Amino acid sequence: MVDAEQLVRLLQATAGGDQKAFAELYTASSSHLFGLLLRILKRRDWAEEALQDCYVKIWQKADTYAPDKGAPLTWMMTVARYRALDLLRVKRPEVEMPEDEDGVEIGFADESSGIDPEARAVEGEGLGRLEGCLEGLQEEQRRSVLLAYYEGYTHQELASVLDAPLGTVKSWVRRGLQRLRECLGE
Amino acid sequence: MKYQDATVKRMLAAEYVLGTLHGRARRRFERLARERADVQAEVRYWEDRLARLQHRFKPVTPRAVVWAAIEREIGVDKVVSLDSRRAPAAEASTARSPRWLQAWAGMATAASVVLSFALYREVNRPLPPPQLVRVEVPVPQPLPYVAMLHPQGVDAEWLVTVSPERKLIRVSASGKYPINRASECLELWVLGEDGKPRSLGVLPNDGSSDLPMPRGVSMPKDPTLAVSKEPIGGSPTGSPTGPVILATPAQRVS
Repeated sequence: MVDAEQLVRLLQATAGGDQKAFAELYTASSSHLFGLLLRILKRRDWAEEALQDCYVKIWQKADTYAPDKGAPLTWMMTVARYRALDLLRVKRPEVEMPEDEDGVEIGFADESSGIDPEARAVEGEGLGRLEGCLEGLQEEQRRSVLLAYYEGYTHQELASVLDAPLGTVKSWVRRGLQRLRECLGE
Repeated sequence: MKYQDATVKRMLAAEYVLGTLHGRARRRFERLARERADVQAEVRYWEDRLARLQHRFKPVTPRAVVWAAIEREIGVDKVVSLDSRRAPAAEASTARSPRWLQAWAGMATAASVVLSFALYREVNRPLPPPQLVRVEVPVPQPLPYVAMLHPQGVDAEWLVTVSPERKLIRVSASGKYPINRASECLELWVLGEDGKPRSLGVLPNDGSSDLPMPRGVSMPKDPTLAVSKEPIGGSPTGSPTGPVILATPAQRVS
């Protein structure tokens, strides 16, 4: 488990231009960002490109991180996810979905999809609550939201994967999010 | 679009964070979020909540080449320091060959060095794209270490040259080593003075490629190179985890 306090210190030192701290930050966090990028982008070359972009951005923007923005790894992974989405939108329209061209194996940490007990303990109540709220969604709503989150699918891609009309998929996503919002509260 | 409408605003923020808001609508929403605190708060709400799903991404160690590229891009660990020759920003960003560079280029050559000079942190403004300038600098170069790696009983080999002074490893592959390319790779190691293996990177499946020498790895006096079979992306632990398929001494060319 990555030590959040240590990451905060490294991020702050990075903001001050400390290159050694930045290298340590990379060592401590890059596998998490890279796993996310591989999962969404599906191709190692794209994931590597995105990882590079992310850390250059983290180097530049480390000073905008404040501990009240959430855990540092969460913040960095959010940066990475947005980067992956942007890159996907630029690249995926032009290409076929790759058939594992680069030999990248993609998987979830817990393929069985249940929440592993350790993660639940670490994340505490928040995760349990989100999972509980997700379970409260209709099957199609939950699948749409999770596929969009983990695969970076657009509405069109969701429609094709779920074999449903575009309008239907849009409303699954929208209703799913609405119900999540109601369930999660403020 | 009726951004004033609280429900619409909430939904746009949620779809923005989820990623299903795209194209021009996404860009428009980003502009709006920059200007409006209430929209930002809504984005933060969803970022916080959906981040709880992040733990299901499985960590994968990236190849060493990525860090090398990052260092190049941000200007850390430059092969030749430009600090004392820093040109004014305007000149450096426009000039293809500033005066100091012409002077260098005119010198006798021994090695080709790629210099990345980024003007990061010199000026407090958005960064221009880093410029890559290839210059010839007269650095006397010791000759590289060379090894021919040939696994027993397999029609595949790699010619490896390691130039620690240039922080460069050049690998040329021929033949095909049978691995499952979907899940496995071959990783190159050097055994240090202490006998511990240190990763030099992942071998190419075919063709030639240049790998940057990982930071903090040096060549011992009588180095031994080894290759192990690893999960895709390289050993997750930093030490060989799979079977070692060969180990060969490397010779300094003299």
